[in-house]
Amino acid sequence: MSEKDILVFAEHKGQSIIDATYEIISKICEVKNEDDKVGILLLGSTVDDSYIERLFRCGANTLLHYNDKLLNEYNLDRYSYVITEFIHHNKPSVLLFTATDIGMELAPKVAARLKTGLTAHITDLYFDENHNLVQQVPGFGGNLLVNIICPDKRPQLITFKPGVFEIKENCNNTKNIVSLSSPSFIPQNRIKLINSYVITESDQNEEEIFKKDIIISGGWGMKNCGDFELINKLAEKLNTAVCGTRPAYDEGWIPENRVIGQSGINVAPKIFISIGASGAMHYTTGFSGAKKVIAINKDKSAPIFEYCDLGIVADIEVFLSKLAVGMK
Amino acid sequence: MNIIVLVKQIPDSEYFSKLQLDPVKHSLIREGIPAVINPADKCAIELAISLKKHHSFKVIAVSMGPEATKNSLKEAIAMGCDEAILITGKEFAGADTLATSYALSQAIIKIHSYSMVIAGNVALDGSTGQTPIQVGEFLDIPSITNINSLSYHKVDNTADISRIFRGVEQHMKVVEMPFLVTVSQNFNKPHLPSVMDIIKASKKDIVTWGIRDINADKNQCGIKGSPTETISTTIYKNEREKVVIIGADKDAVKIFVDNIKKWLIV
Repeated sequence: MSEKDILVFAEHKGQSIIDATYEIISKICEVKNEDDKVGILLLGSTVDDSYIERLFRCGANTLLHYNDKLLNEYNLDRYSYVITEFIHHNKPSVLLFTATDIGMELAPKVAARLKTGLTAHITDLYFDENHNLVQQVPGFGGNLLVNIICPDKRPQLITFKPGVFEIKENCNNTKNIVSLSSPSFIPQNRIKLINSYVITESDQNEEEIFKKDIIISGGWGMKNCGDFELINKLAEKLNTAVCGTRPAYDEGWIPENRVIGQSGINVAPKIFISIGASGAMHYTTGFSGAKKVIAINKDKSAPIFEYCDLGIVADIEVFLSKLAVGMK
Repeated sequence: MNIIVLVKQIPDSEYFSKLQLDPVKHSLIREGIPAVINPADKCAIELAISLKKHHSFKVIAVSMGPEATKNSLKEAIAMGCDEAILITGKEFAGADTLATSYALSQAIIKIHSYSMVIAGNVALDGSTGQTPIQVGEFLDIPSITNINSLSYHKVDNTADISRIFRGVEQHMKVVEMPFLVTVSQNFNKPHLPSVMDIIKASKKDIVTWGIRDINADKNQCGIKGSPTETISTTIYKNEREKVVIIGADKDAVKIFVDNIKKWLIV
């Protein structure tokens, strides 16, 4: 690799690579200089060929592959060790991660080990004339946009929130794969995993929600109209995912990975429909990236009407019942 | 043994929408914005206190920040922490997560004897969630993020921990002390300290440590030790259309459906 090269950590799940990885590759290829090369770092031997081919269609130049079954299962200590060793030997200029459960713990650990800069879940980026990535991040609940650079240290590390950038498969790069052998020493796991079991249905998978065109989200206002039943029915009809506010989680209406906002996830669907939520700051920041927002609430002075494109002031139960009839 | 809790004081998130930038210096105007303990850090304090009740740990809250951070540390003591340490001094100003983590870990190294470090998973102001993991790396101790339960076993000095990670519930055993965990704002419901506890805490001294106390390298602290640099800050502009209609009649239903159809195609 040369000192201007860009490296993307590919996050795999079993045989697949998650969409968020392709989103990063698509975005970085859009903003990079023509001569910058994009390498993909993949650990483990489980990923299917079709997912590897897709990397090149999105703009990857080289796949750097630790094809080692010891690395099939993600482990923080091991992965951070292998990645850091790779960086020490190859010195890329940029290293990009998904801001997923994995990326959000792996990226800071790697950054601390390399003593370099890391910017979390950026919403936009471009290169300046010194090959610094200018990274835009929301701060203070999305009320401020901060531009950050990492001028002196390399690599520059960044995490990307899933669902923010589009996947573009318009390259026909040659499939160039370099097999790497794992470092002779791989650290032992310091934490013993006793057992683990899948608790969520497939449609509640971590990344599934970011693929939806419409997301419906409910708040405390559903309390007096049959909890989330009406929302779930509407969601079924529109084939959307259901999310909610923190109070909705406290009521047990949604799982924790469906809480929108500062203490949860950020989503950017085509249409975000908020029902029965007053619109506290820590909630509205979670859908600031949505193309359009529809809010339904009975209190016309609720702040949510400042954060929507279409607001409907109505009794929720009445409106949703009429909507159910109207949409038949 | 000690439990260390990392605490960050932040501007109250209810006031985030009222934040203004200084037109000349482009820095944040914090006047008139109340400061609070970051919500997830309160959950970390609550967890530490519940472990203390059952296992006679001593809980030490550690924070880095200006003198005014003492207010939050007094609140931490009122909640039940036994001691609080503030890392403060001009050398620490302007630190990004790397420089912050370095300073916090130097303080923890000075405390020397501890079983675990507990932190909130993310602070609402910067929302990076990087600091705890980086502290764990500097200390070279195992770290587990976003746990949803922790039980400590005194008999063999181990802990059982569970968390939901990528849609999978993981059950883990930590056999090596110390270790670091983070908890989210949804982990527990922190209690409000009593008036008596607040009065007692207000009289308690907060220990302050400067750069020499924690034996830190000044080139790794504050702005000097921060690889990232903020080059500009702007206020987010709300560009929503804000068309509001009143009433749940047929027209409202039609507008709702028509807009969904229109916006889905774009």
